[in-house]
Amino acid sequence: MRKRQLLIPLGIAAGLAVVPGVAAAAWQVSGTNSATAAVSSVGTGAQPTVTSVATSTVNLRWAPSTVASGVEAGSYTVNYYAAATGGTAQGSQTCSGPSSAGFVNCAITSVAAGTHFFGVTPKYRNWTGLEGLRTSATATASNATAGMIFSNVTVNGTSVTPTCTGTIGSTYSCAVSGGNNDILRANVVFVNSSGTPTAFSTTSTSTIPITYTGKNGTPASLTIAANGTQSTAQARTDKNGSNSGSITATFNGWTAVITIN
Amino acid sequence: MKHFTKRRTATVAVAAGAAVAMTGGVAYAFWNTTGTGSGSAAAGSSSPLTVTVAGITGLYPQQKTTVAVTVANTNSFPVTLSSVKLDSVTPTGTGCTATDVSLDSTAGGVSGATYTVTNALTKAGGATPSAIINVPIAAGDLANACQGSGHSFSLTFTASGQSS
Repeated sequence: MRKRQLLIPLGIAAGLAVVPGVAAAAWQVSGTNSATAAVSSVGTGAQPTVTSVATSTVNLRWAPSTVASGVEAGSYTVNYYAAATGGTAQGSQTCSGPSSAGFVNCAITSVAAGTHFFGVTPKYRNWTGLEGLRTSATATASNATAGMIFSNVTVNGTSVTPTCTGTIGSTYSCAVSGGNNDILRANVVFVNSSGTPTAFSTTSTSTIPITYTGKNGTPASLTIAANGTQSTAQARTDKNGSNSGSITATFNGWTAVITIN
Repeated sequence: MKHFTKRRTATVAVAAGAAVAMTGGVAYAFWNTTGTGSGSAAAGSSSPLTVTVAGITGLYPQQKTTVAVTVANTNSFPVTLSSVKLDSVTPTGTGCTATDVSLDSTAGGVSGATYTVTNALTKAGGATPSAIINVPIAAGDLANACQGSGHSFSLTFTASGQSS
């Protein structure tokens, strides 16, 4: 009896399956095909343009490289050489993307004096492209400007020699002594890392913002002429009674402070 | 004796590979066809899906993109797509690897090498029904030497349907 109940539906099923046009057949079908995925490349770097030279700093800009429309190289290696083609790189610096207003801008610092040929190599993640055509620029100082110090320091008009500590460009700090309400004046000077006066720019005037503590702090900024090393004017601050006053110069990421105690 | 012969025929047909299911008293015969070959069975025949894959150009590291694939059903009965499988990736040049191209795991419906789809390819007016499926693809961190090279990849679509 049990076997008979099983066979009836199977018989129906088999009968339907073998008679075309009668069976309701469920199908699983598939299809396969292949295609290619062509890989891009980061290509060749654009030839840079020199926007300015400030002693040992060469400012360059170039058109960005891309791996796809709107996808720019993440960084660039700028090498410089003694010749327009060939040779071994004399120096190298990594510059980051992306571009701004259609160009990648980068300052190549600590470039030795003389004429060099700068070439740009784009990079994107693991990819390194080819170096593009080189552009020449002439660095004009053998020592890079490293920061600022103070000169012609006076207290109430009397020349004094400040006591200075720290690293030029970052933690440079000087101090002088003075009485209540005494007046501190000083020039700001561009120097190299050894403290030797060194021009920052051969082509443009540098404007250095100055901040003060104490009282009567003035002016708000000092200027150093193109190819010059010392400010044309002095900064002034006064002790506020017995309280100290200070002059802080900040420029190009550098800081220098002088305090009258 | 003749009655016994019919029963025997039914049993043989089932044992031969027509897996039989019954729903509401109606029997269905299931047949599988795989790859690009065509399947056949005593209850009729089916044709594989026609798959046309657009190539990828300009693949770059960590890129996420889609590949437009046209899938057509040339069978006389409607089918519903169920999945897409990335079968293989083969470097066609130097510097690339088979792991450079995969389904985009961050896209909805992707699990491993399989992407779930639900498009129905229904006959209407005698035209061959088709659908364009945008398959999510992700590129790996392609090696430097892979620049300018390429890969070949294969996709398999699976669908199910019922003929009357």
